[in-house]
Amino acid sequence: MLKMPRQPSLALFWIAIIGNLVIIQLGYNVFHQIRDIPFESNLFRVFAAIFADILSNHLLFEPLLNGLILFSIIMLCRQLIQQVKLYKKWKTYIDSKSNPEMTKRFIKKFNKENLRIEVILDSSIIAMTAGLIKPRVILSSGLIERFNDQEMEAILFHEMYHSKFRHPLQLLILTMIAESLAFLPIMKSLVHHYKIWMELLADRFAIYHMGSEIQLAQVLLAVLKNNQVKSQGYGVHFVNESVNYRLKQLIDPQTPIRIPFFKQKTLLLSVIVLVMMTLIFIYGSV
Amino acid sequence: MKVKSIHLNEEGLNRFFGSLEAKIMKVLWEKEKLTIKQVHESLKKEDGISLNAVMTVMGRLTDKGHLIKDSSGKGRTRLTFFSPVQNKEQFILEQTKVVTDGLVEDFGSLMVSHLVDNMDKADPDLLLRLEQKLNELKKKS
Repeated sequence: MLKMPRQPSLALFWIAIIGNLVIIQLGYNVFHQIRDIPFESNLFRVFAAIFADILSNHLLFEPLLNGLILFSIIMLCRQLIQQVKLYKKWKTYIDSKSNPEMTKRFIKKFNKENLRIEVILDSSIIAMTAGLIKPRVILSSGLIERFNDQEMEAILFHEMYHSKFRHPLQLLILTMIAESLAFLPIMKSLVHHYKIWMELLADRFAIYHMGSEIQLAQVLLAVLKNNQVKSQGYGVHFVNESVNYRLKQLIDPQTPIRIPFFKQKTLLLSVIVLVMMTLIFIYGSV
Repeated sequence: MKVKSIHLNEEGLNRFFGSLEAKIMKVLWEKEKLTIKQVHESLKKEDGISLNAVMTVMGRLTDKGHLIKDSSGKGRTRLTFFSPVQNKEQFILEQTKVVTDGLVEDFGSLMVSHLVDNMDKADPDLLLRLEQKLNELKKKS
C-alpha cells in the first residue's frame, strides 16, 4: 500500500491540534460562564440571568469570545442543515439517473465487485465519489462512451482511492471544522492543502496499479484540453489548485511535489487571533 | 459556448436544449453544414415539423452562439449554410464542467471531486508539457 507522505499528515496533524484546542477552550469558556447562572423557572428569566451575569461578573472581552462561540455554533448548524438538504437533492438526482443494468454490466466487465459503483444515464462526463458512510463511485454513460477500457481502469483506481479512505466523510468533517473556525483562516488553508493531496494520492494509486501514468494523463488531457482552448486565450500564472499539481505529477511522477501550506498573511492573521483569544482566556476571567 | 439554463433532471441533450433545438443540433453535428431547408427535410420525415419552426429555432441557436451562418452566392442563388460552432464532443466536454460544477456546488462536500476539479484553472504550460510528453511516449512505442 502506498505510504502517506509527510505533508498531508502534517496538515491533518495541525488541523486536529489547532481545531481541538480552540474548540475545547471555547467549549470550556461556555461552561465556565453558564455554571454560575441560576436555574430559573422559564426561558426569559434564564436569558435575563445570562445577560446580567455577562455584564456584571465577566470582563468586557468575554462577550467577544461569546460572539466567536456563537459564530462557530451558527456556522456548524448551517453546514449540517445544508448538507442534509443537499444530500436529499443529490440522492433524488442520482436515483433518477441510475441504470442498474449498465451498472451490472460495467462491474462485471471491469471485475470490481468489491467497489460500490453506480452508472448513471448522463451524456456529460462524470466520475465522482460520493456518500459519507458507504461511499460509491458515480460514473456517467457519457464517460464510459468517451474513454477506452484502460483509461476507464485508471479512472476507477483514482475513484477507488477516494472510496477506500472515505474521503467524502473526511472532507465533510474537515470542512465543518474550517467553516466553524473561519476566524482562523489558517484552518481553511490547511484543509485546502489536504484536499490537494487527496487528489495527488488518488492519482498515485492509479499510476501504481496501472503501472504507468499514461492512461490517467490521457484522460486528464482529454478533459482539460477542450476546456482550456475555450476559456484561456492568454498566459495564466500557476494557480494553487489540485489540477495543476496533478498535471505536474503526471509530467514527472518521480519529482517530489511541494505544496505551500498557507500564505504568510494567513498565518499572521491566525496568530494574531489566537494570541488575542489566549490573552482573553488568561486575563479575561474574574 | 456555455448554455445559460440547464435542466439537470432532463436526459441527454434535452438538458441543454429545448426539444427541437436538440434535434436540429443532432442533425447538424452529423452533417456539419446545412441550409435551413436541408435541416427541415431531415426532420420532417420523423416529426412533421414546419419550415418556419425550424427557421425560428435555427435563428435562435445562432443568436445563442451554437451555430454560425455562412452565406454564399447572390440574389436568387444566395444560400445560407449553418454549422455548429463546436462539435458534439467539444460541446459535451464544455457543458460537463458546467453540470458538474453545478453538481459539486449543489452537493457540496458529499462529492469529493469530479474527475477534474477547477478545469478553468489548469495552467496551459503544464497542459502543453503533458501533451508533449504523451506524444513522445507514443512515438517511442
